[in-house]
Amino acid sequence: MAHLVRVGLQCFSSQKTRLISLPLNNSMFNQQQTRLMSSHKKETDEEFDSRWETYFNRPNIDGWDIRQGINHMHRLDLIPEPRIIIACLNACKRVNDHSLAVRYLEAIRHKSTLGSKQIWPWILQEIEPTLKKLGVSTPEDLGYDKPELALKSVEEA
Amino acid sequence: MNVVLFRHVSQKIKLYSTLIQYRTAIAQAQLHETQTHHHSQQPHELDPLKPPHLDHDRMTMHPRIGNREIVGYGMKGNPDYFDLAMFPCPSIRWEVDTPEVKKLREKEQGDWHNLTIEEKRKLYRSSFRQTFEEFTQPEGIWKWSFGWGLIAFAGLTFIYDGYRRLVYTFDPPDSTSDEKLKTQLQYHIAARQGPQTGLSSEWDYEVGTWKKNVGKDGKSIKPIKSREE
Repeated sequence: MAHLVRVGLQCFSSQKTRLISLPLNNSMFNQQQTRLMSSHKKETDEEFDSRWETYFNRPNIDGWDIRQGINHMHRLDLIPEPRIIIACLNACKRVNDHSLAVRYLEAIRHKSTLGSKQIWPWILQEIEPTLKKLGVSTPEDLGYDKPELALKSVEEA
Repeated sequence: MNVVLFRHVSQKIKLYSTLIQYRTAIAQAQLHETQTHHHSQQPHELDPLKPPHLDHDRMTMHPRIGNREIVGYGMKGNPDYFDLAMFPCPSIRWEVDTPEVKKLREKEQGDWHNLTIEEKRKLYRSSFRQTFEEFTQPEGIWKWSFGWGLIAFAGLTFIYDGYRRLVYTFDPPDSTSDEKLKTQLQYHIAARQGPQTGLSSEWDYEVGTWKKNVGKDGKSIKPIKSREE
């Protein structure tokens, strides 16, 4: 939009054009885009979070789709926001799969403790009301923060 | 695939190579509402020690996994179990469905506050083989690596030494023949080697023979080396 304005001014004025300082640059349309090298819009954090939240908040969600979502999200280089985790736990409740919820919490715990030890307690603190409401046990409650069985790995067999 | 095992069945079975094909076939059949046996998609209440009930789906998709419920896409769409830190949710449950687990699943459909810790643990173990903590433990492979490295180093040293012994052989010199030893003895005696307690101390230089030594017992001591008479 901005460059069209500039071209128009160049066409119709013989004098040297002066760029009017209207807010017609890219920052009006996309708050987050500070680099001007790529023209396609990048998704904001808010959009990302709400997209995943609506994905898990679908009322007819399938166990298949929850697992797909968990696997996909776990591959991304991030730890999900507490509201996404809450949406996922609610979805697990709708599907009546408690062990899936525990598995998801374990995955988040594993991923977060790789970076720092402060993230997991904070996440637990944020999702505490949901855990109490649904009755989901944390991995610590089940004793799975320490290894229980010593089974051979698949490569050893 | 494993159709060889079920030769008594006619060859009209469709083989699906991916789970996606399987699911689309089911979805299409459900759309047209021609398929009346929906029971084949659900796990049967079976004795896990007996072989599973054979029907079209079981024979094509999961003769290997038996009674276990397919719950997700997994990694590549195959109904295989895996424990990976990258993919938390495998495509099938770990354990077969027994009547006890079926009861727990029914209880799971109610309020989760009613489940005890032990029941929750049983449910978890029926769906998953190992917890995250268990399959992310270090296995101590560095000990094996170090040990085998040392053994390899020792083995190579032996081979190197053996190779040298085998390849770099020489004919022994003839300086061990009797003639040469005799001349060597003459030279040693002429050079007065061992004059006090050694070789030359036994040679009588004035006479030109070996000394006749008398030991403590009164018997003569014979010198060890060969003499020139």
